[in-house]
Amino acid sequence: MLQYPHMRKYFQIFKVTIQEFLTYPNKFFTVTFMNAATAFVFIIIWKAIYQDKTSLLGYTISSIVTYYSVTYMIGYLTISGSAAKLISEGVHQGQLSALLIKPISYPFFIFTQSYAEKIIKCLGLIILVFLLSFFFNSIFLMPPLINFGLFFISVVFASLINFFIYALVGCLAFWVVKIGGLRSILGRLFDIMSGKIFPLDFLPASVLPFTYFLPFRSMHYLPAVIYLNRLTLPQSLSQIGVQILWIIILCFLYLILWKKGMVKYDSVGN
Amino acid sequence: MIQSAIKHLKYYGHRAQVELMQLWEYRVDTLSTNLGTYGYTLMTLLFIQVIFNQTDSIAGWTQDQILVLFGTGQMLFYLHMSIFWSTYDDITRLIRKGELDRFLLKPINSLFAISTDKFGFVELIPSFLPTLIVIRHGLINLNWVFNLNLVFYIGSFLISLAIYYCMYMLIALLSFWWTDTTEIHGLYHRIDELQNYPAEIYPPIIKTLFFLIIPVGIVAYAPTVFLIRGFQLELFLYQLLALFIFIALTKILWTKGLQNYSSASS
Repeated sequence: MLQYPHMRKYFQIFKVTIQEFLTYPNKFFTVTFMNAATAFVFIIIWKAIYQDKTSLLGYTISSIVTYYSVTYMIGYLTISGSAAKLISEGVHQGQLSALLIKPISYPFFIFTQSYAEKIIKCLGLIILVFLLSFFFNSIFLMPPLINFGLFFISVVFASLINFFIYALVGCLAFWVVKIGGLRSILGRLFDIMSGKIFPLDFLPASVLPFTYFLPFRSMHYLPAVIYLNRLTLPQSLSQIGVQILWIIILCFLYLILWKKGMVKYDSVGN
Repeated sequence: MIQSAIKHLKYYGHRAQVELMQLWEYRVDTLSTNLGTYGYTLMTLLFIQVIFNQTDSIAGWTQDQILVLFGTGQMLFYLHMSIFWSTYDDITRLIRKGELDRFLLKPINSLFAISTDKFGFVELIPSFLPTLIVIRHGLINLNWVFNLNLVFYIGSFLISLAIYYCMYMLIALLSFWWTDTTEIHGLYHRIDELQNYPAEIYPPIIKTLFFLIIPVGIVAYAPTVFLIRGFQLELFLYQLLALFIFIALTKILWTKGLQNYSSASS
């Protein structure tokens, strides 16, 4: 693959991003512990709720602990907030102009940088899994092999959906000066609608149907319930199909917004 | 004395005006940041609702009591954010660039001078509103009536604010030795979420850890307990002990840090 010169340059970008990330190991470890701390808080709260209960909506304490552990691992691997930040900074601080005249595709450049960060975060994931299994070892569930495979596929797709949504937000920087607030709103919406804060089954019956029409449920909830074997094989496959559909729609929207943004773009600081 | 107070009020009034103008310039971002703030409050309220759809109480706390606890924690957080948030960024930047001198040369306590250099008056108002509504809602449902507990609540709240300040300042002061403390602030900010829930839910070791070593478990818990259950001497002593420990640590780290500091101009 690296015989192709156009791929080699993206491999270099990938390598440099990983090297940059590893330059600050304290940042890497803090991010890892940050994720573990949040998961830990939710698990402790649910453990308090389950003190006098064995099952809630079909979730035992083991499945709840596993759900939170898994969703936080998924979040760790899929969150692409940096894509939005990179694009908006590129637009406002003028780095975009310098990159546009280079023989690389800017959207693909952002994609490579974002995924290099995710790969290096996999190392953090190992630490996270170790921490969670150390604290909650007796109640951490393992999935059947087939579910593990489907889980892996759905996490990869969830990661792509996440990337395209944040890249779309980043593209708004062509029209809006600051996008920090929009990222914040999106983050909150993600937290609720993706099932990161609690399994979507616990949402009020009047709100639950709305989640079917949004891409967010594919990002945390779906891979987690596949892992927990709460869906049948056909259900899992059809839901993965929905993920693919969302990827196509979001990718299409991203490319349109990028093209429109390039028309609107004024170079800053050059 | 009165003249001085009027002068300070005028000064801060002008500062608020300038701040408002800056916020208006980036109004989409200002609006969306506030909506993001409301989003966090709504998200946590939804989570609390989801929990109490499944149970009547958690570790002896009812939904309304937890709402008061959550509201207090949020009020503490936003008040602290609006007064001191930019201080931590500034102090980190000034230490890193060796530009701390302009504060060190002032004829007042330099740490006080940096801490009170900037306020986020305007940002405070929209953040405060939902937390006040949440507290009021919880207290009405608890049939709470005005009594002496309110005095203990306010006193304990102010002590918690000081503990909060010391915790974040301690992290910022690490910049004397480390290049970047942003991530550690981020980590502590995440741990802050613990204050939204009663201390009784945590295992004993974690409870001690969050009461004395990283006193995040006590900051909102103590004032709320005083307000809805009455004054508890043991809890108040825990809070005072945490305050003294963290003030002492902040002073030590500031002094040691200054010994380690090198100015850009020297």
